[in-house]
Order: sequence, then C-alpha cells, then structure tokens
Amino acid sequence: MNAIQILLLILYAFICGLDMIWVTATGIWRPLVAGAVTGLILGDPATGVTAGALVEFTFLGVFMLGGGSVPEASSGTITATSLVITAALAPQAAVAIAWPVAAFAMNFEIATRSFDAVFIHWADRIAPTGNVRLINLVNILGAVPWALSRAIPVALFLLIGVPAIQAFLAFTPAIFWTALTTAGSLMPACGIAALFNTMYRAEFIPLFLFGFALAAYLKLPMLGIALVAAGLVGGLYVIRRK
Amino acid sequence: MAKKAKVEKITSSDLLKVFWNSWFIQSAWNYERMMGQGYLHGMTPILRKLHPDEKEYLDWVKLHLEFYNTEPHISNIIVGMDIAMEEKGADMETIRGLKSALMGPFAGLGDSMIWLTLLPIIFAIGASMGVTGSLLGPVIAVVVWIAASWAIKYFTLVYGYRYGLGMADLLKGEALVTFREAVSAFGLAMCGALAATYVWGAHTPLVLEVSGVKVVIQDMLNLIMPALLSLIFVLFNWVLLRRGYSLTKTVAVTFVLGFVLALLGILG
Repeated sequence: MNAIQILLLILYAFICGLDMIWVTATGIWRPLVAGAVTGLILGDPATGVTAGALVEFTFLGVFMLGGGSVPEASSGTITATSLVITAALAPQAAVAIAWPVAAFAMNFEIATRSFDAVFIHWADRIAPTGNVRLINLVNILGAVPWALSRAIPVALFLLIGVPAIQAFLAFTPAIFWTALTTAGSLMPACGIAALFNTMYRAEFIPLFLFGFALAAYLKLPMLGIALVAAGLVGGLYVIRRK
Repeated sequence: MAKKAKVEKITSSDLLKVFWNSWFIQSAWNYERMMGQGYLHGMTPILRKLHPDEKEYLDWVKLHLEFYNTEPHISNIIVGMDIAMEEKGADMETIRGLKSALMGPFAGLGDSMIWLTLLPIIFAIGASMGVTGSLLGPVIAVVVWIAASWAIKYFTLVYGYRYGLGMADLLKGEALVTFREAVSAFGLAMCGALAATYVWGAHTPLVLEVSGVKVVIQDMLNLIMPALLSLIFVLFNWVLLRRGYSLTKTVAVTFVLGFVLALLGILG
C-alpha cells in the first residue's frame, strides 16, 4: 500500500460513516461494497469483492436498532480486505480479521453517540434567533464525528495494525493460516443465524426448509430462489387477502 | 392556542424539499435527544409557511428540537401526518402527542421490515453474485437498495401527508399484519437457502480406512443430506442466540470452535 492508497481508504471509511448516518442513502458502507471498493483502490477488485461478500454474509442480521451499538462492519471490512490483498491471504481470512476490528471500531461509535449531544446544545442556543439554516448546518456537522468513528480506526489499523500483522505472519506456521481461513468460512453461519433469529416464527419453518431444499438439492442460484419464494409467498398472500 | 388567520397550501414541491432534508434525520444522533435535531431539519422548508407569525414560529422550532427517535425511513409517515395536521391548525400539544405516540410502534415496524428483512435480503443476493469475484454483485445490490429505500422514504411522506391519521389506522389493520407475515415468510425461505449455500467452512476432509476400504466422511454426510453440516452450524449459532448470547459472543464461540476443529483436521 502506498501513501495515496492509504489516504483513499481512510477517506472511503469517512464516507462510509456519512452514508450510514444519513440513513444508508446509498448502501456503500455494507461489507459487500466496502470490500469491492477497497479492492479497486488496491488494484485487485476480484479478491476485494469476494472478501467483501464473505464478510457480508456474517453481518447479515447485525443492525443497531433504536440506539444500541453493534460491531462496525465497514471499518472491519476495509481493514481486513486491505490485509488480505497486501499479504496475499485467502479471501476467507478476511472474515476472521474483520470481526475483531469491527468490535474495536464499535467503541468509537459509542463515544460518538455521547459526544454528538454537543450539537443539540449548540442548536438549542441558536433556536431563539430562529436561524434554522444555521441549525441545519450544525445538524449536518453532527455527522462528522460519525464519519471519524470509521476513519480513525481504519487509519490506526492501516498505519500500525497491518504492518504489525504482516510481521507476525512471517513467524506463524502455514497451518495457522489454513485453520484461520476455515474458521473464517464457517462464520457466515453466525450472520445467517442472526437473520434467522430475527425473523423466526415456528409456523414458518416449512418455508425455511423449502428455501434450504431449493439450494441444497436443486442447487438453484440465490436470485432464482428469491423469485420462487417471492412467487409462492406472494401468491399465498393474495389468496389469504381474498 | 388560537387558530391562524391564513396558511398557504403545502405543495408537492414543498414535500419534495422535506424529502431531501429527511435524509439528515439522524445526522447528529446522540443519546440525549436522538433524532430531535434531525426532525426539525426535515420540517424547516415548510415551517415558516405553516406558521407565518414570528413568535409562534419560534415556539415550533423549539418543539421540533425535542426528543424523537424512530425508524428513519418510515419516520416520514409521521412527518407527513404532522404536516397535514399543522396545516389544519393543530396545536402544539396535539403534535407533541402525535410524535411521541407513533415513534415507538413505527420504530418496531420499520426496523423489522427494512433493516432486518429488506436490506439483508438485497445484500445477501448481491453477495451471492459477488462471492465469485464479480463486481456485478455490489452494483446490483446498491441499485436495488437505492430504488427500494428511496421509494419507501418518499411515498411514506406523501401518503402520510395525504391520508393523515387514516394512515395510522391502516398500519394497525389486518392487511398490514398479513403483509408483515408474508415478508417474514419470504425472509425465512431466503435464510434456508443461505444456510445451505454459504457456510463453506462446514466441510470435513476426514477419511476413514475400514478394512482397506477408504470411506470419505463428507460423501457419507452428503448421502444423508447435502449441506447437513452447514445446517447444523447455523442451528448451533441460533441456539446460542436464543439462549441470550450476544452476537459478538456467538461469533467468538464459533470462531474458536472452527479454528480448533480445523487444527485437529476435522474441518477444512
């Protein structure tokens, strides 16, 4: 990684923070996209998108709702994909690296959630003048700490963490990295289980089995299964409404 | 509070301005007042029009800075209803009541439909395309997500404004319950497909020798059921979550387990 690439990755992490707090207007902070963009910046988009897709599966059911914090996906993905590409690791290893980084980055987000009260107090002071343009500007500025809560951990890892891990790499036996890769490719089970848990209703188990069978036995691609399932469920919904 | 003498009608271009501003609903999110400041940001393009009297206007600015928190897309239903009611001259107590009465139920509804169903399904399908290294995966996911989420954010505002309180009744009605169930059922079918496809690590390289004959364990497992190990690992994780394990803890347990099993040569 050269200095420009590192700067671009930190800038991208910053933008991911903006996208997330501005109601995910584009979705570019999701691991699937973050992996692809990191790959583009580092000149290996194919590895990047594969690593991002693998991390995406582990973050499927991971959302902060109502104000709780969860491991921060975009900083984890950017760091892990950078390491996978620069150290020529298997893309599966990205998952194993992304989670600890994401859990670390979460602390910056929690700090932001407290710190941003500064902006509402600022707005309170402007309110009696009725200058809503200024209040709106303050509101937009409130997104900066959110963006920094992604950019700072990524900067720390790219400048200190990745070289350290690369040095560590030289001393570890190959079996360590194959085992890490296997553990990483087991992790989508967590993301899928989290998603399953949020939608779980005992009476819908047959549909779970239906989707499982289409994939396991008939080997249909994911979009095909989505269409078949949407057709079936949509049809049942229409009949039930009649 | 006395009724206003004359208020200009809210036009569709006014609503469009509110729509653009509504992307900043959680821009300065904080533990203290959460989306309070963002709510005012959404209302600013029309607040002057709704309350031409200066003194009254300043009171409304303060009101819309108060505590507020809900799901940031369908929040626009509440904003739409609020505009319709303020236009008809509703007093501040009524609007404060409307906002605080609806934000809770709408948070639950929006979170389960948008963040826990729509977004994960779109990005899971994108990831299934991207996993082979194709950039088409992320591009399609982003395009579909933008189309779907922008439409939801825009139309909830317009319908919230147009149908006002009737909208709240509709959302509590039977039709929506059925719709939510259909969305969950679809989501679970996709979970089944994901469970069968993307837990690559759930594969064993074990080979047993039984009186000179080599038995490949994975082949035997496939005869029982393809993707059996994947299913077992997903259900194992689900049981942990059901038992109250946090997601981070579940991830850590699975990771250590997978790492040890791989070192022992049981997985890989």
